[in-house]
Amino acid sequence: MSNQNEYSLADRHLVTAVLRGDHSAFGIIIKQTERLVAQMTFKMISSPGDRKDIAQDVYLKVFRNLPGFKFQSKLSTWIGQITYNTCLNYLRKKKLVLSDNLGKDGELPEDCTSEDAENGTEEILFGKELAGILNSEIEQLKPLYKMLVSLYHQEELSYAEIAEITSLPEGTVKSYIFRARRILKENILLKYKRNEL
Amino acid sequence: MITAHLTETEIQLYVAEPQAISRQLAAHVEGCALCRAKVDNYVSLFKQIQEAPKPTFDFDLKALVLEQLPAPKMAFPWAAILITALATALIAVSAVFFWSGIVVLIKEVSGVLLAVAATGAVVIVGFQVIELLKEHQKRMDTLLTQKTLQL
Repeated sequence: MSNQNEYSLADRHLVTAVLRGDHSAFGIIIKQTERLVAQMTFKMISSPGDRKDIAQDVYLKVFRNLPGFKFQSKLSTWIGQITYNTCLNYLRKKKLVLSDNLGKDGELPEDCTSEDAENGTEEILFGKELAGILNSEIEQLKPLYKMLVSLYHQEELSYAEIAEITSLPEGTVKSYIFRARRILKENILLKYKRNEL
Repeated sequence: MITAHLTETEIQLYVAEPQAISRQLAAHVEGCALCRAKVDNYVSLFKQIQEAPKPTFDFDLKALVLEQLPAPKMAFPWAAILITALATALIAVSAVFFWSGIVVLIKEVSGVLLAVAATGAVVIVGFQVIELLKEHQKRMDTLLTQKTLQL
């Protein structure tokens, strides 16, 4: 049996149990998807108090809408979609920026010639130092970039799965992730240089 | 060999999806110190992002959510009631029709035989209950241990 069928079967077992009134089955769903929801809310929402409200809101929406879940995607992907939309609504209400000035959609980012490339040099990023500044540099990225990079590199989702969660075209997801990583690398290199001076 | 350096996008592709890079570009990276350094930086960056600590909630999300869920609505057991009513009616009708025979049977059958029959019935029901519990436990264990929704 393929992995997809196994996922689907397990999803069906859990959803059926919840719809029959088994709350412990819903507890299993929460435990199995909590990491994804945490990853997304931490990257998109800066206030810890709001994250708590949003995470609860996500699962209450999941519970309410579960009878309408059609198994056209993995349950976790569907929960990811609900999380993304809930975070998006929160950011809109708070009039916070999510995705403006992110560049052209669907195209891989244009390459600018950096000073280093013109000089024919590139600083080398060392593991320990990089680990030290990486987190703060990731935090400087726009919420959408942060989330996309985390979903791809930490949760190891495919471009297609991320596209499904965010309802963005796959090409756009790819382009944003490339751009985010380039910004991240350039910012880290800049910090290296500043530290060296 | 291509002499122009790889673009940032090509460098990222070289690291993330090497199969998407042409042989000529790959050959350039092998022989170019600048592109090699850029590749090494992205390799290092990807590794560090992957190994960065993953965020976790500092509260019990499951408990918080479960306590807010509405109590499950118990469906009225129409089927069970219907079957019970039919069975009761059948037994009552049988008792009326075969009452004289039943009285004779009870009088003739010894107390020991009745006790054996009753014990047998209790044992069978007991085994069925144990089987049901085992099956339920097995299903719950399967759901708990399967990496069903992990990504």
